[in-house]
Amino acid sequence: MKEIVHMHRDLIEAAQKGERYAQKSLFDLYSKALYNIGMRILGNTDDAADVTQEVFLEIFKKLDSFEYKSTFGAWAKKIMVNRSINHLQRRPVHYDLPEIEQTQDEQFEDQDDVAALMMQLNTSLMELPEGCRVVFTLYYFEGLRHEEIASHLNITTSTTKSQLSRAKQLLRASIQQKIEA
Amino acid sequence: MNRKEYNQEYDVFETPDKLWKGIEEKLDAPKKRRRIGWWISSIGVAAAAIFVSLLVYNQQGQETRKELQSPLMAKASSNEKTTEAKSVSFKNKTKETAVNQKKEKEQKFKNIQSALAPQMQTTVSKQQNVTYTWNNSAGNTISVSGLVASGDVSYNLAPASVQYLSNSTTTNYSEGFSGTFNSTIPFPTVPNGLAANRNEVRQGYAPDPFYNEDITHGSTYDEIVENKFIHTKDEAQSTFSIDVDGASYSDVRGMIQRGVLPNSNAVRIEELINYFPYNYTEPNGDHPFAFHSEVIDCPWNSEHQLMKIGIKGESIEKESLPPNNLVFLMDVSGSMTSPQKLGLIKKGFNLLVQEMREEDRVAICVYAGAAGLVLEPTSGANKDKIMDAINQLEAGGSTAGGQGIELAYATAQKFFNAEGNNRVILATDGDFNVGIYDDDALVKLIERKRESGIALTVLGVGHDNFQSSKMEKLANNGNGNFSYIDNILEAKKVLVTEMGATLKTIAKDVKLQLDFNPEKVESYRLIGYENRILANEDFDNDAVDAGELGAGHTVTAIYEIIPTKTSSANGDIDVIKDVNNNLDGNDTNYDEDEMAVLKFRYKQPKGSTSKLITTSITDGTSATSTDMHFITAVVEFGLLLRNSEFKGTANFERILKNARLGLGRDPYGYRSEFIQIVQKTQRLRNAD
Repeated sequence: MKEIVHMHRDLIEAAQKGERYAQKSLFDLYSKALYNIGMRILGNTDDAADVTQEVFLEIFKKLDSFEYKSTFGAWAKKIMVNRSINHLQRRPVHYDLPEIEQTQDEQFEDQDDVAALMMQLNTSLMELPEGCRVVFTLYYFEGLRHEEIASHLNITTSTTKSQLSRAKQLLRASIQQKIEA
Repeated sequence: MNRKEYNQEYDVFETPDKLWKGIEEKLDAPKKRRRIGWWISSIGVAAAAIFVSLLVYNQQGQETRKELQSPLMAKASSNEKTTEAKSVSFKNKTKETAVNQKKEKEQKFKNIQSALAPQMQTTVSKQQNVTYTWNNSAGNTISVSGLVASGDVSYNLAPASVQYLSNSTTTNYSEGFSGTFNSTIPFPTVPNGLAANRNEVRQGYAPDPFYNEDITHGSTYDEIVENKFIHTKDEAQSTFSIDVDGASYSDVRGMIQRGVLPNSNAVRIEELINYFPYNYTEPNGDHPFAFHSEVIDCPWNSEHQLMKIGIKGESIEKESLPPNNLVFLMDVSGSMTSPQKLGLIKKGFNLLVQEMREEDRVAICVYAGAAGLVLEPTSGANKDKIMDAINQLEAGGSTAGGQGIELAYATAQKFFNAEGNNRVILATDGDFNVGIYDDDALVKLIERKRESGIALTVLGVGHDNFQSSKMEKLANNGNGNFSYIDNILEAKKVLVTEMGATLKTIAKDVKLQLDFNPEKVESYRLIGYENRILANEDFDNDAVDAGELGAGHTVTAIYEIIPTKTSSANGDIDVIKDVNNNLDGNDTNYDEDEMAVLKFRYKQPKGSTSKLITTSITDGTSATSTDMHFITAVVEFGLLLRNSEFKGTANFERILKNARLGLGRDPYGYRSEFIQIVQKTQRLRNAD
């Protein structure tokens, strides 16, 4: 029953012709999702913003080759994940497990508020060591399998698995600490 | 844990505003090179080029400033012990990245500055119009325009106007803006008048007029300019459109319950009054309305009187209501992720679905990153299917409300029932990214749909970023009502108890006009309805749109009256009448104790010509009714909350006394709750 209507097929077609309003609309619709993927993989606003910009330019350039085989969103997200990982590999990443640094952060008064909890999770996620964060993000947010992550990042699946369990452990501790604080 | 579902729910980071600009610049790159060549070749306009560079410089300055300001704002917020505080702007940054970013931006800023400083000194050598535009942390675009005075590096914007582009209101700052450009302060300094109420102001950054509201409340309200007393001999006619909304009361109540005294622009007294149902008798004549008027002494000013005009729309039993063709349009964007938002809406819609009959049709559309039809129009007999669809909805993604509205209207149109009630019910927290539409285009779309017979009801939820004025504008233009829902009882009140009224319109374009008798009324003031005032000549003009009235609804308006000094007691009536007859255009003949003539115009829900009803309001001597006691308490409370210039001797003790006298049967407990709200307000005021 659940059927997503391609409300913006017309936008995609207009954007293919280079119509600025259509490009802007697609940007408005998808930039948040893409930017957040960037944030989770890259861990800082500047890199996430840079890659999001690159990806949109790429999307507008490649739009002619988009064939409606998947949704526009899925297509755009895939490009974003790939570009973010490429970007990551251009800078040194440490996949060893450093000591946890305890950082004191904002407290959230309303524990029942799901949004606040999510915010907490995201803040905690940003505090994770980069290796942990990337593996966790790709596994849980982007739904990649261990083999895929390993091949993307050029590490072994045993490393991805230990990173993932370490990430969960650190997140649990960090959130627990925030709730108790 | 379903991995797929997580994606959008976790999108908590706001996309930086500058992103699109960067993309656009790159897309524009080839064009720009040509333009630069042209600039170089035209020496004659070199001065203009420098001015352009000043603007570019300013823009960059603003971006930098904004980046710098958001952690600052957040710091201020986290110091406040309100639950709203966390909602503002810090959410997307850890401290470390914020600090790094700040350093980097400051460096970039300095580079730009040193590159541009010499030009600036020569640029501002004559008077120029300059506009600064920036976004404050509430997401409002603010633009300040003014004249830059001559002088090498100083400027003066006076008197300046601050335009709130998000709701098109303008505030004038007569003291103006002034300051200097120098090597450390490239952006206007904060004018004294504005800096006074914020201690976190950074020197060199433009004022943020929303500053206080960000702390107490993220919602936006249009400014209310209270109606003044009008002398009857200057203007004996008063015309306005009805307004059945009660949203302001729910909103104000929510704030007070959270321990925040509401901003005066959040207090719409007519919406406070009309939140409560009154026991007006049912109509029994040709028209589907009954009128009630009452005149009593004004509690907060012993020399004044209050005149109540009450209208009761005919109640219709649910069984005899025409079939409903409803489209629920639900905002499932990330910001709706809260039991107090989407959770509440889901519960409310479930309650409404319980009331649906076989002939009713319900469809569900959602909008977030994309707009989608979740449930094809389904018979009210198939409750489980509808409820399953509602309960499956999850929030996530960014908002594109414009497309959602189009889809909802298209769905309603497809199953349009000429005999029925065709309505889109939009539930949102108002964080409404209208995509390719601007506000005006959206309003036009809604107006077009209204003409095709599809009305719009807007249900607002959440308090952190609620765009009250925008939502109300949409509902008003869609011939619909706007309600703010903050708890399940409220959802029940709006969606079930008042369903007759919410879903079935018995009259539209309902206008009231009063002709005051100058012998009785020296001057008058309509309390509330500030945004519903109509020009007198529009009363008879059927092309002018006005409010709609639902089945069983009551609408009440209160005039504060200054009575004419009773020289009539000395037998001077004839003299006064002579004076009266000399007045231009005032040939109405009043009966002896007639205070005003009430004229009422309405159209049938599908009619295009209006009907006129005329009745008179007399200065009766009967005892004050229970309802009237309660209404005066509500009005007095509103005046106190607004700190109105007309509040007279308004005080909490009398409000409580009148509210208790006006408690009546109170079947739903609304009036008892009002008493608690007044008491809480009193405590908050005392604590201040």
